[in-house]
Amino acid sequence: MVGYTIIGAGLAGLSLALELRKLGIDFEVIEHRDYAGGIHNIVPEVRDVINELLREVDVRFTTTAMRIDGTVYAVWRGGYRRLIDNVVVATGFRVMTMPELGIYGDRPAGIYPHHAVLDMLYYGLLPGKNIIIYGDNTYAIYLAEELMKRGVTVKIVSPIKLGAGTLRRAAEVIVGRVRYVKGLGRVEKVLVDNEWVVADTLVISMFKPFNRFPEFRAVGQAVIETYDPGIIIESGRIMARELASKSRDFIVIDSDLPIYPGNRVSRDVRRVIIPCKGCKVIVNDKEYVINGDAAVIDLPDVERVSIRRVVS
Amino acid sequence: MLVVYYDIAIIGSGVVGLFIAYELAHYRVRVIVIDREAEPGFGVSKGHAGVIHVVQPPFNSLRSKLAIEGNKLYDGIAKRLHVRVRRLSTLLVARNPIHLIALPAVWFILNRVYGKHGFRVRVLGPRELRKREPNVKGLGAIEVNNYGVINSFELISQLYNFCTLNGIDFAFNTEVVKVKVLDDGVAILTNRGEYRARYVINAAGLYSADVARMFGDEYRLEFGKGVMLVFWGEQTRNIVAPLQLAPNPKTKGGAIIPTVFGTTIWGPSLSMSDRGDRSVNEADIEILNEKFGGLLRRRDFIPIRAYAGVRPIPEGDDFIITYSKLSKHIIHLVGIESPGLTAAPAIARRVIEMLRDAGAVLTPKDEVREVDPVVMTKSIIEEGGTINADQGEVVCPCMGVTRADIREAIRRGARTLDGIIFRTGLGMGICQGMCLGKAIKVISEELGIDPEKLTKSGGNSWLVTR
Repeated sequence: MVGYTIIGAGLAGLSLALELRKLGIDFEVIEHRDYAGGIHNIVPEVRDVINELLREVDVRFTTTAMRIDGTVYAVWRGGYRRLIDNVVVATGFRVMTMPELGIYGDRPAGIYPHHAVLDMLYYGLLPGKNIIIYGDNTYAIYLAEELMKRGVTVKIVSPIKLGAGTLRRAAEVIVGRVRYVKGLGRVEKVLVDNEWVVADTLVISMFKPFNRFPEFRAVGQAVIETYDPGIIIESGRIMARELASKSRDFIVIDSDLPIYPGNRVSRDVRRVIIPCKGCKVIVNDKEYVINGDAAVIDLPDVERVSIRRVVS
Repeated sequence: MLVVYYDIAIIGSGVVGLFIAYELAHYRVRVIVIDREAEPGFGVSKGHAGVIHVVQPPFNSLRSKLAIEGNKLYDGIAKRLHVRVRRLSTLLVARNPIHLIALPAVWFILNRVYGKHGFRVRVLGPRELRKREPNVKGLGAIEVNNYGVINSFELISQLYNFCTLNGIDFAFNTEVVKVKVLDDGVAILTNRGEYRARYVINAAGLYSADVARMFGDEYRLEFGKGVMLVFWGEQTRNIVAPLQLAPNPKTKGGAIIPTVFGTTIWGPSLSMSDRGDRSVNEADIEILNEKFGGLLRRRDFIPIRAYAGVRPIPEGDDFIITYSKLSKHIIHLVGIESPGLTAAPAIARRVIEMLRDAGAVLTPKDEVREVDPVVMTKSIIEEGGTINADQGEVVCPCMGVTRADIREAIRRGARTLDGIIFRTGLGMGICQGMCLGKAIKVISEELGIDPEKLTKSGGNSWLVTR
């Protein structure tokens, strides 16, 4: 098959797929889970967008990309094939690890990464009855709401203050860091800063971009640290146009910041994403202020572009 | 209540108890293995780094002798049981000029002791060290060969399968409460009924002193906690540790250890603790960072997990393998700590001899059945074979675990989530168990139980509710 294999039917993968379709490029979308949407499955507004995309794009569910030694395969019920070229990774964020987060203590049952709980909800299961969600982002809030709808007690622990507008239901928010977990069989209590909070479950909703197959290009939260659905969709569009571009002209970017989709972009597309929360950047001689966690920037039609962060 | 009679009862299904059962599976004897945990190897055997050691200080100790014997037995056992063992060296790295100057002297001492037992000791200069270990910072190193790393979960599972295949009985979730020495053997009273056996082997690990006390034999145990930090990816090709000229109890032991899973372990650290404490503390991780951080050039590896193991440290700091004062029909194995994994095959052989000396009649069986290798779906794919539907249903993408792999783990004895994790590697990768939701559903389906009944490791370790 000539065309692209997109790993992951979340917002990024589906956006990329739709854009490729518009550009007349062949592709397939494979999805490990038996549902689409990934982390946005429980985010109502984005779920609507995903449902729209699913009307346009076919997805092969229960089809998983996995690495065996050095080789990447797509595996489905009854078959597999090697993934060699023309692959785009759209597998989204990974969940941060306990050592990364500095959470010490016991390792009883009842500590779950965010995504495990998404699957539980999908299968009609609950991770516990008295839950602490540790997260500094909107996904933590949506998960709290979804769990509370099912009659579960939820507290959100966030290292930073969460925007008041984003909390529509009354989930209790504790500002602080989870430091220690106690429990022999099951989680019994969790130390937040210097205070013990009784809970039977700890859900980790702190994320990092992670491309599990770095030999391939990636879109969305697999490479960009953003919580803005608009940025994720845009990354899919940029990647589609990059893949479609037949031009041999490139813009070389000299930057001290990570630039999506990379430091060499097609001159046809001339569009990049700069993930840098609240930063001020200078693109050649133009100054931009990034309001959210990332910004889409159209580059000037020149051979070389310099992007610098202004540290004030 | 029904009383079941056996020739030999083994208390404890850790690696030591299992190796003894494995040896006994070759003879015409009725054997029961009793364990308080839900599955084999859930005690001391759950919390080590999977290293096959060589000579141990003090060099004249029983544990050093048994480690040397055990080390030499491992390749054969691994081949027979189809368990992955990777042989490698340990490099003791000189970090400063004083260490470098001391290298020849260290070599001289180690070579005399290790060389006598057939282990090769060499000095590596800076260039050779760089060539052997491009990611290690150091001025030179002492290399000791014939270490190994093993998939110890696979070892436990295959030993257990060999035993069940050859007629050994197991009683899990079964705690010994009381023993009575009778004329013709021992009555073992448990929370699940009574067993009678002519011979009893106490391989109860963390509880070995308690079991011995039931027979009136007093041993004192202390408990040492070892913390291990696991990284995603391979940092070194061999086991690497800083050369230490003066022993520092705070940073005793441990190394950078490449595992058979392609991950790296730093550790274990060692601190005194109590038996039930498997907590990981900030201070433990700081010690590991302090000790091993400076040894590596590239440090951008993601730490994925930290875990702790507890080891029983006996009085006198050596393995205690002895008959009870009461009767030669009772054999105690007390304080089998590191290098217990390495020594276990040799310990088992010694116990067989002790049983014979005590009068046990051990007649070889005419036929012993062999275990099949565990074939994970990913190896079928790697070899280009065909797969069926369940082999293609991937549950854990990170470690490549399928529904068929889970079913096979259950067929081989897994009854809990940890049992599945140990046999398949599920959730042990960088994804941190992002697949656990689906895994819990699939495991419950394959076990034919309600997900609410599934536990992480027995007892109160429930996983989900509705």
